[in-house]
Amino acid sequence: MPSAPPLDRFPLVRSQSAEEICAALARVYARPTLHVEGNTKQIDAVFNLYQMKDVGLGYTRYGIPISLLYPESNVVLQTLPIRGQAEAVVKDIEYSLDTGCGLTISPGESLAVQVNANYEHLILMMNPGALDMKLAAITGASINRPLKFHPRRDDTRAAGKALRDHFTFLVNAVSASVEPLPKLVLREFEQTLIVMSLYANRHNYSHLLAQASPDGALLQVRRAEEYIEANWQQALTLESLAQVSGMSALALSRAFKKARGHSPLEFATQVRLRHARAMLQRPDAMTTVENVALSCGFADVRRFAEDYRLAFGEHPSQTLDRGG
Amino acid sequence: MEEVRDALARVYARPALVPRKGIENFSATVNVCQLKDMALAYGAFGAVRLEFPATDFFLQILPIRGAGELGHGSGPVALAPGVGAIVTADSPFKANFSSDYEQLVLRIKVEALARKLTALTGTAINKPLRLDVSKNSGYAAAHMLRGYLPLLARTLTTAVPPFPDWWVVQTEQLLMTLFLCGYRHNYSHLLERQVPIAAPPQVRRAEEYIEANQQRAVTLEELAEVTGVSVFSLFRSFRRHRGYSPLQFLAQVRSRRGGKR
Repeated sequence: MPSAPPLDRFPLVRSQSAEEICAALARVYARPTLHVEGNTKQIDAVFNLYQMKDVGLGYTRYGIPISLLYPESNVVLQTLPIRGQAEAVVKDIEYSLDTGCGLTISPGESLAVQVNANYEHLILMMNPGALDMKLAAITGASINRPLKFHPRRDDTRAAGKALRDHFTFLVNAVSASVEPLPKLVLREFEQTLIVMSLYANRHNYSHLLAQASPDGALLQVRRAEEYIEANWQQALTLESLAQVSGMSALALSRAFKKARGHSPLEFATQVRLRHARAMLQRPDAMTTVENVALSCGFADVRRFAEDYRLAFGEHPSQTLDRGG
Repeated sequence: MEEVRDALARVYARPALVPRKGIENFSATVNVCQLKDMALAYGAFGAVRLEFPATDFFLQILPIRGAGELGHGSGPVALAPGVGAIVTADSPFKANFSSDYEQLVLRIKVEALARKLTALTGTAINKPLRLDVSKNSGYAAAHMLRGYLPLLARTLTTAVPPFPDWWVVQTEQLLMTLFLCGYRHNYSHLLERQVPIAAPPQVRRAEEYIEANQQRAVTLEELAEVTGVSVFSLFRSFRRHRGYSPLQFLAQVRSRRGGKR
């Protein structure tokens, strides 16, 4: 063994007895039925578990080829294979488990797995109530039907990778930390893993979460920005923006504020200021601060100078002096 | 150099910038991923001296290559991979970088930290948060934060499409908790209280719901439904454990949001 297995300071069971293993698993998940593939080698299992309030981090190794049949449980179980191969059956569909190719088992689903001798995985166990609560908080919907995950998680997409990396980061931190991590930090990490699990997995509430994210609105904001950039010399009205973006003026203003932190008109001012700066940096004989201000749609020159200074940190005349 | 100053002014503050190897050799790369109340940045400036004015941001600086030195109130601090530094709000600072220096920087708004502190401790934050920069590195959470930033940078870099708002919000919550638990400050004792004054679940659930739906007006009927208790009893428990009503909390959340620029 090159180094201690993950979470080694938090043993759940280390045993060569099938009965002890089953009893330990029954305490934290569900009592499995074990079946050792026709050879005489002794089972040599290591189970570690670090249990927080709503989330548990675990590590499992069996030491021999073995198959297990788990009945339904009442937790959400996510596996993350880190070594070896395994096959699993969830709801009559077969999945192969390889490094970076995990499964997500919902409460009420049985699980059959068959692992090879060097198979090891990390597990992430979650209290379904905590997932429901987070889901309700994000979407504002009441969660009446139980949350059901699609068993196959894609750990190669950004969302799956983020979950996997955050999960292994916490496993490593917990394994390595000599002093206990602050409770508040563990709580917050639990919340983070719950949120990331909701995003990384496909489930029966995925569509609600997709609406909760403002991607659609962002597109409309982008469209309005493009319009502003193309028409910066014209007087801009919220009505015209509402038209190009296909949203009401109020909704667009809100979407802007949310996505960019400023209003469409503030954005337009920034665009005109940028054009003014470009003119001041490449002046000709006729260029004055007043001319530039007027041709960029700033009627009040003092106001223009003030906005310009806020945006670029210098007076327009300073830019002009340097450019000339 | 002007472009770099402009860019830094936009995302942080306008620095004085002096290249040590002559202007003609100056070249800088700065990437910024703006989250909501914070931003994660990568920077490589070559051999320069930078001088920043005071701002209302806290910075966690994490060198990833080369060497540098940071000068602020409490004297110079060495910067090297694995040896980070923090810059507190309202404090100007100087930095000197070697030509191969590269860093990650996390920038956090003061108000956001104060808000998080209120949420974690359950008490109003009247006096500004003051970090004790002299003794700051021994805490497990600070160590974790420094380990976490490179992971976050990688995660955000590969995120196509970008992560949704609610994902980003939680990530910010984690960063702020690590920051507040990792460094010593004038509210640390409240975070370390053995028995935090636990508000009942319906209060926390209502707050969570209001925070998550801050873009619209949440009704009392919704709160009653989400928490599973009557409006009357929700008011009573808010009054007892928070000292204000759910509607006052809602107004606070919305006004903070409105005032945010």
